[in-house]
Amino acid sequence: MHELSLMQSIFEIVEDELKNHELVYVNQIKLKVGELAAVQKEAMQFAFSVLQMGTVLEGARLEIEYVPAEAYCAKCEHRYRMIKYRVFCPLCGNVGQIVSGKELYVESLEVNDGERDQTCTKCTQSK
Amino acid sequence: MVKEIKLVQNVLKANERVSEQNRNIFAENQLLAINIIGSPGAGKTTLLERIIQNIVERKAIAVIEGDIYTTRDAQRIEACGVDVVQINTGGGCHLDAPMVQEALTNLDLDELDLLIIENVGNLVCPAAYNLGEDFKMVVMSITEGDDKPEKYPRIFQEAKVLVVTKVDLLKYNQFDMDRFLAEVRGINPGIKVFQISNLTGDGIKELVGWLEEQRNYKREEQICSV
Repeated sequence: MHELSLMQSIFEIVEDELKNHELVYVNQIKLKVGELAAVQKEAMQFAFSVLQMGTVLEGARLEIEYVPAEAYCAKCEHRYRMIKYRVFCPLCGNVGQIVSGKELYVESLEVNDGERDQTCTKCTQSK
Repeated sequence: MVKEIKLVQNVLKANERVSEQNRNIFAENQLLAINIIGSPGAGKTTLLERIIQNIVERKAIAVIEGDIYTTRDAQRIEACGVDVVQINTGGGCHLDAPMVQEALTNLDLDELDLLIIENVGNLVCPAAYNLGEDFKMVVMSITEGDDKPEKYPRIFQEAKVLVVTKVDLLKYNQFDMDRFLAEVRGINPGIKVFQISNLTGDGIKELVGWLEEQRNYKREEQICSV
């Protein structure tokens, strides 16, 4: 439900970064989203498609990598997948520490630094 | 030429930064801040009325009311004799840290030691936005069904305390409390649970007693660190 406002924050991060690098084109944005982040992939893609119109991100792709929820039991030295969000260690039943699944960050950008490239449709169109 | 730029930037970093500032403001003013989250109709505002009515030192309490459009809840809380600041999100499904920071400018923080923030009615989005609070309280009514923890795991994971409301309706409902609590504790084994009825008043005294304890801990914590 809050994917639209999350996407607005993502746009701010990306636009800042583009300014820093004096870049104009973005081909792809890579996002990492944890299973526990309460973020829906489809809603993110939809928010992206709505917000990108008329911005420097128009035409860019959004790639979302899902990170499964995992916890670690110090007693058993066992890292395990949290099935149905349960934190208990499957070996001993103790409460483990959540080690992954809460991620929500922009991992990387694939950018075009603007040098004319014959394979780039944007460049050939503008000629 | 195509190249890759590594970023690794938290999407919520802008909110996190302001929520840290809020946390510092609360600490400086020895103020316990609670973020109340629950679905529309769970009984958040009624619970808040009951809590305030049962606290003797009422002067030191303030409430921030999050609502999409109206001031209905704020009017109800004001009638209980405490300071209220209304935040209207104008369509937004959650409060964020900057909204709360702005609301704080309307309060005399020196005079307060308990700030209760009632978030917008929603079990999903508010869980993702820290406001700088000491802890989150999730409020869920039994009429919402005993299968909710697994459907909305984030809030049950993030909350320090769960208040189950409308328990006076248990006899008319198929809600299985044992099943529900087992599911909650599977997700968050340390969560504190209170079962209450706003209508009959059952469980309110225990909850208020616990809140007063938390309020005292916060005061003592500050005295120690000074």
